[in-house]
Amino acid sequence: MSTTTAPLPTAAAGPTPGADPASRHRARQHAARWWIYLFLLPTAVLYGAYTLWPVLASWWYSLLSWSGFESEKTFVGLQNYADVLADPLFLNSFKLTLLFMVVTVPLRVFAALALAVLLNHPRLPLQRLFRTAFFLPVVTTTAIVGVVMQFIFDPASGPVNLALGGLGIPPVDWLGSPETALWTVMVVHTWKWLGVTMIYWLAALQTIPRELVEAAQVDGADARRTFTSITLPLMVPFLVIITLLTVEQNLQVFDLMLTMTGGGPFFATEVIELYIYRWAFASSVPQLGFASAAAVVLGLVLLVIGVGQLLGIRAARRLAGGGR
Amino acid sequence: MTDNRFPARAAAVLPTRRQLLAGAGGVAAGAVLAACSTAPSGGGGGPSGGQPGTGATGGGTTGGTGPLTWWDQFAPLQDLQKATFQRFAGQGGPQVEYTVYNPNEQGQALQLAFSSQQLPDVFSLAGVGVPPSVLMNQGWFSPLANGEELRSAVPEGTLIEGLHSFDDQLYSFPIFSTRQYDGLLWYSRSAVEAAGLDPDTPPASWDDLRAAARAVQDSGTSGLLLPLQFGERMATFVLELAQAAGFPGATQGGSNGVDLSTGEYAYHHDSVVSAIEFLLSFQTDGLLFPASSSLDARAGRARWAAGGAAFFLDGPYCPGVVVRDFAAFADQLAVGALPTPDGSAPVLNRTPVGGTFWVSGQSDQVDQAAELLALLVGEEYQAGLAEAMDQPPFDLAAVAGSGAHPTYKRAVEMFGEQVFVAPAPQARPGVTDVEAAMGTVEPGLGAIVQGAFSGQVSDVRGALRELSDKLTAAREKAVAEVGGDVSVESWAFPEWQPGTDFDVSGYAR
Repeated sequence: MSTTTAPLPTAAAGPTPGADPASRHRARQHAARWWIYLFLLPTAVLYGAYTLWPVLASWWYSLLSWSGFESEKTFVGLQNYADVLADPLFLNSFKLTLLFMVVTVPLRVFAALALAVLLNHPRLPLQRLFRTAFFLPVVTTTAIVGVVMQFIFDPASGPVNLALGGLGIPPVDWLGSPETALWTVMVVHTWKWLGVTMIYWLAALQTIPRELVEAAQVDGADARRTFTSITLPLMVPFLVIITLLTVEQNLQVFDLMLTMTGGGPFFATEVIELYIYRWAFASSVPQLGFASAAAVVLGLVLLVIGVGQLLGIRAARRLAGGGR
Repeated sequence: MTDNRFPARAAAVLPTRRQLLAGAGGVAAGAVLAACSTAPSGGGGGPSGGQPGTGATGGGTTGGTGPLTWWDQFAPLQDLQKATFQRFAGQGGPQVEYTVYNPNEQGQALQLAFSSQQLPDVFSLAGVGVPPSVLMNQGWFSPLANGEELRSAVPEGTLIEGLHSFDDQLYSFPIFSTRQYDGLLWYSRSAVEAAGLDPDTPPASWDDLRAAARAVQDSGTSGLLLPLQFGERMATFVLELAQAAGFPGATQGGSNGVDLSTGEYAYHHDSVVSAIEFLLSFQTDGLLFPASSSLDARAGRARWAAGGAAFFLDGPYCPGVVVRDFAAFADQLAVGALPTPDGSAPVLNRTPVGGTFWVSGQSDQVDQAAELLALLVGEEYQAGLAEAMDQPPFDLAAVAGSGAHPTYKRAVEMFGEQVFVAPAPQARPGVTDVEAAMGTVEPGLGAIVQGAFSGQVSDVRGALRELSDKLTAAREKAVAEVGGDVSVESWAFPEWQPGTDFDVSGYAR
C-alpha cells in the first residue's frame, strides 16, 4: 500500500526535514491562518445569515412586486423605488425620522455629558446609586416602557395630567395629539437611553489626566474654566464617536413608537421603521417589495450621512493636525 | 515527519485573504442568483411520506401521522375549541396542537409559515388581506374531501362559489352568521341611571345619543368612548352609520365604500361625511372620553367597563369579553341598536361572511383536518358558539335557548331583524384578482377618521373624495393588468334593493 510520505518534488511542496528555517516559518504562518479562518467562521456565518443576507435579500425584494403571501414574485425593476419616492407618506416618515434624530441626538449626547460630569464629581455622595438609577431604564424592556408610558401620559387619569391639573393646567392629550405625540416619545426615548450614553461619557472622562485638572486648579481655574479648557477639548474625539453611536441607536425607535403611538395619530409619529413595517406586515395587503425599496432608500441615505460624517472627521483631524 | 509535511501541503492550498473574500463573495452571489427565480415555487408541496390527496388544484396530502396543528384568533372560543378537539380525539382522531394568536400577529405568522412550508394544518385568515381565491391559486389551501356533507349542514345560500368553493370544490365554510354588525350601542345601566335616563330605553337617533351623552357627561362620567387608535374598527363604524344614513352599499369583504348600485367607489357620499361628522360632534361637544385617541378596541372596552364612559360602540362579542374579563360589570351591561339619523331601526347590509377555517395546502393530513372541521357545523358546536358569545353562530336559533348573557341574545335578535345579506362582488369572476392587484391605498377610511379627530384632516369630504379617486384609479389599473371579463360593472348590482336579502342567482350577469 502506497503512502504519501514521499517528499514532494517542488518548492511548493513546502519544507522537507532538511528545509531551511524560513520555509518552516512560512508554513507555520499559513497553518496559523487556517485557525484564524476557523475561529472567524462562526462570526462570518452568523453575520452573513443575519446581516448580509437580509441586506442582499432586501435589495432583491425591492425589485419585485410581491405581497409575501404569494409564491409568485414579479420583477418590476425600479418601479417600487419610483412609487416610494412619489409617496407623500414616505416623505412624511423620512422627515419625522430626521426630526427625531436632529432633536434627540444632541439632547441625549449633551444631557448625558452633563449628567456624567456631575456623577463624576469626586465629592458627589451616592454616586453608584445615581449611576444605577439612571442606567436602570436602559435594561428595562422597551415595549414595557412604552405600555407603561401610555398610562403615565393618559389624558384621562395619567399622573402627568393629574399633576398639571393640580397646577391648574388643562389636560393635554400627550400621545393622541399630532402636536405633542412625537415630542412625548422623544422625551421618553431620551430618558430611556440616557443611561447608556452617560456610561460612555463616564468612561471617556476617566481618560482625562488627573494631573492636568490639578494643575489647572493650582493655576486658579474654577470649575467652569476647567470644564471648558480641559474637559471639553479632551472630550472632542469621544464626542464624535458617541454621536455616531447615538445616531445609530436613535434610528432604532420601532418598539417604543409602536407601543406608545402606533405611528398615529394620522401618521404624525410614523417614522421610517414603522412605515416599512406597515407596508411589509401590517397592511391589509402587504407589499414586501415596496417596503424593501423604502428600506433600501433609507439605507442609502444613511450611507450618505455616514460617509459625510467620515469625511467630516477626517477633515477635522487634518485641520487639527495643521494647527499644531 | 508528517507533522512537518502537513503545513507544507496546507500552505500549497491555503487561500489568501483576497481569495477567501472573493470566494465568499462568489458563494453569496450564487445564493442570491439562486433566490432570484421569479417563477412560482408552488405551494402545497407537503411533507414527504404522504400519499396524493384528492387530486384537486393545489392541496396537501393524506396519510400523515402525528397531531394536527390549528391556528386561529378567536380568544373567546378557546374553551369551546379545546372541548371540540378533545371530542375529536375521543372519536379516534389525532390530537390537536392549538395556538390562539393576536389577530395582527397571525397574519405575519402565516406569511412566514407559508414561505417556510410550515403552515398549520388548519388556520383562520386573520390579518391576511389577500383574497382567498388568490391564496388558493398559490397553493395555500386543500379542498375538503367531505364537501357534500358540509354543504348540506350549513344554511342554504351560505356557500358561494368564489368565496367558499372553487371549481365546485368546497374549501371552507363560515361558522358565523352573516347577520351581525360591529356598531351596537353598548352602555352602562348605572351610568345612564345616574344621569337620570331610562336604562331600558337606549338612544335611537343620533340626536338622542348626543343628548344622552351630554346628560351623562353632566353627571360626571364621559359620554362616549371610541377606540380611535383602531382605524379599521372606526372605518367599520363609519360605514355602518353611513348605511343607516342611506349609503347604498354594504360592509364586509372588499365591498367597503362601493356603491353597489353603480359599482363605483363612493366614500365621499353624503352619508359617509355625515357619519364622520356625527362621531366628531362628540369630541367637539366635549362628550368623548379623553383617552379615546390612544385606545384600540380591547383597551377601550376595558376602560369603558371600568367606568370610563357610559356609551361604547362594539360588536356582539362585547358581553363575552365582559363576562369573562370584567365579571363585576356584567350586570350593568345594556345594549341598543346602532343609532340612526332619524331614530328608526337601522337597516344594514352585509356581504356573505367568508370561510372561517381553511385546511392547509401543505398539510399531510387533509382528510383528518376535514373530519375535524365537520364537527363545527354540528348542533353541539353551534350551541357552544352561542354560549361563548363571540360572533353569532350561523344557526341563530341556537342563541335563544343558550345560557348566553341577555344582552347577547338581544343583540342577535336585533341582527335577525336589521341585517340583510348583500351581494358579494367577489363571487363574480376576476373580481378578487383585481382586488388583490389593487394593493392598499393610503390613507384609508380609518386613517382619515383618525385624522379628522386629530385635526390633521380638516376637509373630510375632500379627503374622502381623494380616497374614492385613488381607489378608482387603482382598480382601473388592476383591471387592465388582470384582463378577462372583469369591469366596474362586476361590482354593480342595480337590481338589488338594500334592505333585502340578495338572491344568489343574481351573481350571473
